[in-house]
Amino acid sequence: MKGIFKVLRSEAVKLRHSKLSSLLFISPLLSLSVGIMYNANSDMPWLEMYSMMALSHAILFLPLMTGIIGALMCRYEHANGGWKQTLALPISRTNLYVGKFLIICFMTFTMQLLFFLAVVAAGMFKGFASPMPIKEIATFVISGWIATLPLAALQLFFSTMWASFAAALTITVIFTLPNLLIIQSGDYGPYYPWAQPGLAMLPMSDSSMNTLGLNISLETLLFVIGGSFLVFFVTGLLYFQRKDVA
Amino acid sequence: MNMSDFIVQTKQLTKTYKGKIAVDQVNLQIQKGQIYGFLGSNGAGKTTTIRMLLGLIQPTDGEVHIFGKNLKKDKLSILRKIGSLVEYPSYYGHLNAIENLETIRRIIDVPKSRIDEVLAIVQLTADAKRPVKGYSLGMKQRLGIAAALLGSPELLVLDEPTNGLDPSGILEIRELIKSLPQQYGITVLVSSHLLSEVEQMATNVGIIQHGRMLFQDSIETLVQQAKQHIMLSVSEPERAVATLNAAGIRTNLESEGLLHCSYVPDTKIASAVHLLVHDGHDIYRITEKRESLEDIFLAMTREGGF
Amino acid sequence: MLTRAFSSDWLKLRHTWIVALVFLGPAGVVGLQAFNWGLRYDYLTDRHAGKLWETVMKDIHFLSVPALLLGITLVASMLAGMEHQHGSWKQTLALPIRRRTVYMSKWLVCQTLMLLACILLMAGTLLLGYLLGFGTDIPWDDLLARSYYPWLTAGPILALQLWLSVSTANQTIPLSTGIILSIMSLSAIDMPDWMPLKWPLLMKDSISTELSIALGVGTGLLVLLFSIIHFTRKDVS
Repeated sequence: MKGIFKVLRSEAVKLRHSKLSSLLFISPLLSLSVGIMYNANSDMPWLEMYSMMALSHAILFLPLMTGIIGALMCRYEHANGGWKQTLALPISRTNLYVGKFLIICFMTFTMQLLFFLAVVAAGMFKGFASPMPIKEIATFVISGWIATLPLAALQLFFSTMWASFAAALTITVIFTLPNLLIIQSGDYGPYYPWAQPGLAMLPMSDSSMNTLGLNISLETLLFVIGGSFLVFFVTGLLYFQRKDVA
Repeated sequence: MNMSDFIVQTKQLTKTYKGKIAVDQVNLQIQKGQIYGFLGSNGAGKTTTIRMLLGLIQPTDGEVHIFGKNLKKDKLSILRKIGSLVEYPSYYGHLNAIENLETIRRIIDVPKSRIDEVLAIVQLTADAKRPVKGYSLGMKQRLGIAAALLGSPELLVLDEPTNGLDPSGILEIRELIKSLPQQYGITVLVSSHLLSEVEQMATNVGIIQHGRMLFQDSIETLVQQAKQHIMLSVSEPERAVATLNAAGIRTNLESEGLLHCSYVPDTKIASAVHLLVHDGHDIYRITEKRESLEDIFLAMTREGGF
Repeated sequence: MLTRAFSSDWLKLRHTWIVALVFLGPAGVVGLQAFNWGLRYDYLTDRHAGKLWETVMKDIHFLSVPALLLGITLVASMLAGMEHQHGSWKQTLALPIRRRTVYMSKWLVCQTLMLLACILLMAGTLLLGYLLGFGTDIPWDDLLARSYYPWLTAGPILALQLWLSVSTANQTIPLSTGIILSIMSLSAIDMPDWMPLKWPLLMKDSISTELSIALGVGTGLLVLLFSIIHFTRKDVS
């Protein structure tokens, strides 16, 4: 555990002066403008506005940004021969890998938090009469975050494997774009890892909150999200432990 | 000397970055057939000057004339006759050596056979069909030199060409550079931070420090700057020093009882020996010690000029 | 000179994923719609009976615009990236070639690759319609328009992305910008008519198709002109 903390602190220094943190603001800010411009006309203005804001954020931005952040995680190491320096340090590769993964999770969590604040701000700007359904919206946001974890794991795997930022990103784009169609499909959507953030964050007609209080059915959580997370993470870790460093 | 006699001539060439002076009023002069060693420590302004010679960056002030033409006006016709390797080799890692050279050949339009020729010159023929990303640093460096030679240039600009090469590689490159003026009439500008390297191949030297040109002349002139010293080892050092100084030959007593006279002509040495022998000293050893170029270079760069 | 530079740049595409991407993009778009139509064949053919070709083309167009913009982003970044990666700009620009030619050549390669993708998209559309048994009554005008007008009207985005990618070695900014633009294009229907993102959608109700093409090509060339001016004056490190 101590090793992981060392990694986290060292990674935090590397991220200083990088423009990575500004990326986290993009989607929440765009969503905020969507929320402000949208005129809700149902008797549940908060949820209606939230749905509009979550649409582009959850279906495209969240998986794509997870990909961008993941692809950026190893930029320093690839760019200036940093791998040989980092891996020659007295720290296990497992700790390093887990540390980098936790950073991605922290970043995506921050982005979700900012998105939540954007919803609050847009609602306050609109001055809705009804109180904000805090618990429901918070559930959507957290469910969305959990649904990004497999994507973060996969992207970290690609990011360690390929020096090219563009290559790592291309994969994300290729797999995210089909979301536009797949998310509409009740039969296939639940099995597609990239569609999970969208499905988890958008209020569906049948309020399918599970026993854990997430907007994800227990089967999906266990088999699709948990399963793909395990496969991606373990594959990536095994690869990283055996990786030859040039 | 007439301006057109120079292959390369810069006039008060200056480059400032955000108020910080990188190159300061440099007047570089290179004649045809010379191997011009451009010497300076890292960050002295060598690469910035070379980038300006190639039109990669704009001078803040001053002019560059190459082949008697103004670089600003005739950039393309000048560049057509220059081959260059700046700072570190440029390459496309996913392509092999032949394909890398082909990307350049398609622009400068030389016969395809030229690729095989330059690969043979830098001895990369055997590895020519491997992706360059798998090359060692030395091989990439040689590929860079091959790329510079591809267009059969009249002027070759090589920035630190022996960087990252092993001793035998350095020797090969040095011999190659030395052969270019004789065999093909190519003029060479080669930069380095190592005097020993420049000394072994250059005919002329320019020394730059903090963006300013400290020295520019033939290598012989630089060698002559090296002062000669005579060291004498005698049986009674203290008395000998007194004798010589009394006779008007300035002598110091160094450590371990050695006598030191700096920069004396042969006749003076002869009379000093005569004097000492006559005075009953035993002379064990007379050695000449010359200041090495390294010493001069260090003294020059430390003082910022003579 | 431009042809020479172009053939040099074209050679650099060897052994890269760029060409694969040009095939993968259209294949992905057509493939997704093949899934969509294949899985719901009875429902969709029933609902859109009589205008099957038109509907499948519309569906493909819906996906092809964001795919095209993302493709532009990635290809422009990869084209510039291989020059940035091992300091190749300094080698290329020390060759006897005008900087504007170097830049135009990159732009031309990028445009050609995108045109290639659009041709493949058209071929894919035809193949899909044929396989779905929509007959031979193909609305050619519609097909040509939906296949090539997005390419023409995406000119400003392509010029912008190429400029961003060439300007800095760090590709984070160009890639992020391109991705954001692509996503924004999905909601471009609600944007004002002067937004370049709206032009590839070919909305016939607002500005005419001819005007959006003229605007797209014109603005694209203008952005190209400005980026060439910037590129010719740039210091190369």
